[in-house]
Amino acid sequence: MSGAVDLASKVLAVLTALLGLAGYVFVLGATILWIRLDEVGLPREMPISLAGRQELIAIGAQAVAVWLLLVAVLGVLAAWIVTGDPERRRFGLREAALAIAVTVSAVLALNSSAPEFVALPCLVALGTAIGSWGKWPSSEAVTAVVLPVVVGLGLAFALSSIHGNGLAEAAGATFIFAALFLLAPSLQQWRARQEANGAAIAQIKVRKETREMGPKKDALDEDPLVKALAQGRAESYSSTVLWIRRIALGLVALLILGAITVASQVERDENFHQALISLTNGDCIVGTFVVRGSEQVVLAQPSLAREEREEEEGKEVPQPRITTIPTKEVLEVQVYGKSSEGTDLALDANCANSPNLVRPKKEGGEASSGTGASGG
Amino acid sequence: MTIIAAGFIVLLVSLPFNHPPAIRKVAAAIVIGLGGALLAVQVLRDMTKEVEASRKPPDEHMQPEPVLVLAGVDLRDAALPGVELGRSELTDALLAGADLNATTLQASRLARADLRDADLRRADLRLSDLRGSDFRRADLRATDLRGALLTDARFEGAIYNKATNWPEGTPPPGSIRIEEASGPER
Repeated sequence: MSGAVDLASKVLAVLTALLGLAGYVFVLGATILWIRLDEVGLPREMPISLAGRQELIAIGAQAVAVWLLLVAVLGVLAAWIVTGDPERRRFGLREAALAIAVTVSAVLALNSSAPEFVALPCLVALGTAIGSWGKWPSSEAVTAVVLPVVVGLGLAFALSSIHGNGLAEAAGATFIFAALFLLAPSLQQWRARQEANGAAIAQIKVRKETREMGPKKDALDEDPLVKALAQGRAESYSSTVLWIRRIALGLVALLILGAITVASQVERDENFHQALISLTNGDCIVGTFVVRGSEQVVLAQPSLAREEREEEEGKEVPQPRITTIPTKEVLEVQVYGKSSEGTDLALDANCANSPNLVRPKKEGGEASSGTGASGG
Repeated sequence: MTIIAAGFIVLLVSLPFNHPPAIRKVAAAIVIGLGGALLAVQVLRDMTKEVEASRKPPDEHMQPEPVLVLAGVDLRDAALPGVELGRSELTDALLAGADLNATTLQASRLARADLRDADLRRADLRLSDLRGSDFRRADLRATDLRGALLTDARFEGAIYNKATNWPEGTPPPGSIRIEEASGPER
């Protein structure tokens, strides 16, 4: 019975965590969409309120996935370092700083106008690897130095392929690297001490059990040395305080990860795509695709940069605007291209010749298809 | 580390925050990369020292084989007054702030142990290996250190009195003598 309860509570915990994660990604997606709309001068509240849950989760997941992958890879590496013997798997502050320096230098170089300067951190990494291989104190010692440098370099190249906000990526990568790699040496030492205390307690226990103490025997727990060693192992706080600390730490980590994710999306290229929507009445509308909700498609006319140009040229400045089209009126939606500034909202005068794949039904006839059919 | 910090300063100083000029990114990348190169040289030097140290023959210890191995343990702020820890291996142990009043540590190995702020009054540290240990601000009044090895040990701010016995009769530099009207008796 207690096994079933235990299993049920674990399943509930996992489901709750997954729901929480979905909610977190949802909030991230809404925040990113808010910023994108704000950057192009569009109203923010209406599209976000109309956007489908799945779409916002997709936006958030796309943005956070690479950072989660970065944290996961670095976390595995940090775990490998922490679980090693500090004498053999030596990873001190110098080694951590070396990995961070190579990574940040590579990220900055790859995001600059002269990416060929990434050769410098690559040469440093190569020199470290060759030098370590030449010295060869042990395979673990060499791996502990070379692996973080190589992983950092690889992740720098991976981050550069995202085409996001270069400075935010460099700052985010630096922060995550620094947090994990600067903590790893002290965590490694802490873990080694915990094991040493445990081994010492076991040793004293064995000694006491095998020695003849005479008529008076001190209980093991009363031995001041054992008590001191056990205190050095055990947490000094109650389990409630520990759990509160862990939850607080997790929330702070999620908050920081979210901030880095959102910052990396600011001023990205390809924020919005163009869209061509053909309606059931035969009309076609072109505009900038914003979101799709369960009952409507949202198109926009972002024009911030265009407004500035037209103000300079003295022409009339159309206001940025958003329109929603009920999905029951929509026959087909084509989203294509990349558009950092957006395109105007307009009826497509050449609807008949537009590359629609689906045509409205002719009155009294069957639906026609293909680009050659005349629109109605 | 200074060079890496300089690289970040190059990138961020007088910066409209989200638009660093292109040249500044390249300059920061180069400065930080050079900092990494210097760090790589230091790391490889440490590796060389480690390899050389491993090739040296092990030191001949004056101390007998330890009966209790407590190397690397964490006993910070532990209360161990009067405990018998003679012939123990406490190399690299953390004993900062521990109460070791009148503790017996005769013929023990305490190389590189952290004994900062520890209370070692009347402790018996005769014939112990204390090389590289840290005794800063420790209380060494009436401590017996005769025959102990103190090479590279640190004693800045450690206090002692006339009842303290040093290995060669002279207190190490940095330690502070306390004149008491009536010190603790042995």
